[in-house]
Amino acid sequence: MRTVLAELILEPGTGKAIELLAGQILRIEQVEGGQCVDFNAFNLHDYKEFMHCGRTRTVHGFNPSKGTFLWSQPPRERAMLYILEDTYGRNDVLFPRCSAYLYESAYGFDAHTNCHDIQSEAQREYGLTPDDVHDSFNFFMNTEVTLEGRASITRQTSKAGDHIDLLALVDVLAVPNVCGADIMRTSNFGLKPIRLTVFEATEADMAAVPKTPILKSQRTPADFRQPNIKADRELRRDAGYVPQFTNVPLVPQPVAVTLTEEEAALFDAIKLPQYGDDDAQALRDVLFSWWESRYLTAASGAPAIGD
Amino acid sequence: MPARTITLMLNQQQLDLLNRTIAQGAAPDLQTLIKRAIRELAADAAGTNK
Repeated sequence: MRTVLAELILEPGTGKAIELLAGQILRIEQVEGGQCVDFNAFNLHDYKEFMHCGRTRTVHGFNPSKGTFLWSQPPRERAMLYILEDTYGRNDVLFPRCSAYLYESAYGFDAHTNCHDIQSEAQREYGLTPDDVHDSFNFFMNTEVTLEGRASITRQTSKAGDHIDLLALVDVLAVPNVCGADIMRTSNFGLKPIRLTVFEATEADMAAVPKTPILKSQRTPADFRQPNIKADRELRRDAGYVPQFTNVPLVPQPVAVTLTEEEAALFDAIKLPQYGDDDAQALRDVLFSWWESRYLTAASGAPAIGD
Repeated sequence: MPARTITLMLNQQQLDLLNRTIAQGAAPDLQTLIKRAIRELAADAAGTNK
C-alpha cells in the first residue's frame, strides 16, 4: 500500500512545479477524461540536466508508455523517471509545446492559454525563466506520423480515472500542466482538470524498475571543460580557446583482404549498387551492416559491446 | 569470378570496435572477421542463415 504524500487538482490553464524525490511517484490522472498533459522535468539539484524528448523517443519510440524511461539530455543521459503505470497508453514525444505565437499566427489571439507560457509560469516558482522551458513529454496525446513524414494530432479517448504513474529515479522538479489547446483535437476541443497525487513508492514499485547501466560517458559538470553556467546573454569568443575534439585527427588506415573466388561472388551478390565500382566502400558497408545485425542491442541504453 | 584483393579504409574508431569484437572471440583476426561478415550477410540475404 502506497503512502499518499500530496494531492492537488490542476485546473485548466495551469501547471504546477512539484519536488519529486527519488523513490516517489507522481500520478497524473484524468478527472473527466480526454485531457492532454504537457510535462517538463529537471534535475532538482542542477536544472541544466532535464528530460530530453529526443533521447527518449530514440530509445522508446514515438509513443512511450508503461515500462519506459524518461531520459535526460546528452551528455548526462540518465534515466530520470520510469513510467510505472499507464492505463491509457498513448503519449507523445514528437510534438513541441503549443505557444502564444501559434495561437496568434494561426488563430489571431492576442492572448491564449498555451503550454509554453503555462510551463514558464509554473517554473517561475523555482526561479526559472521562459527560456528554460524544454521540449515537452505529452501525456494522453494521440499523434501519428503520416506517410508523407508529417506528424499529426488525433482525438483521444482517455476516460476519468486513466492515469500515468511516474517513478522518480533521481530527485526532480516535475512540472505537469493542463495543455492549453482548447481549439485543437489534442484534448478533444476542451480543457479539463487533472488530478495529481504524489506517493511514496513501495519496495515492489522500486523492484519493478529495470536496471540501466552506469557508463563513463554519462558525464556531469565535474567532467566538463567548461563547467560554469554562463550568466550573461552576450556571446563572446574565448581568446584562449584551443579545440579538443575527441579522437581527432581521424586517420583512415588501409586494411587489405584477399577474397577467394567464392567469397568474391558472395560479396558481389550482396554489395549495394550505390557504391558502383568502389569495392572498398561497399565492403566496409557489408562489414558494419553485419556488425549491426549481430551486436547492436543498445536500444535500452545498454552498451552493445563493452569492455 | 576471380579472386580479388580489396583494400578498405578504416579509421581508428572503426578499428577499435572491430578489434574489441575480435577480442570477444568473433574471429582470430580482421581479415577473417571481414570474410565472416561476407558469408553471413550473404546467407542472411539468401535466407539460409538460421
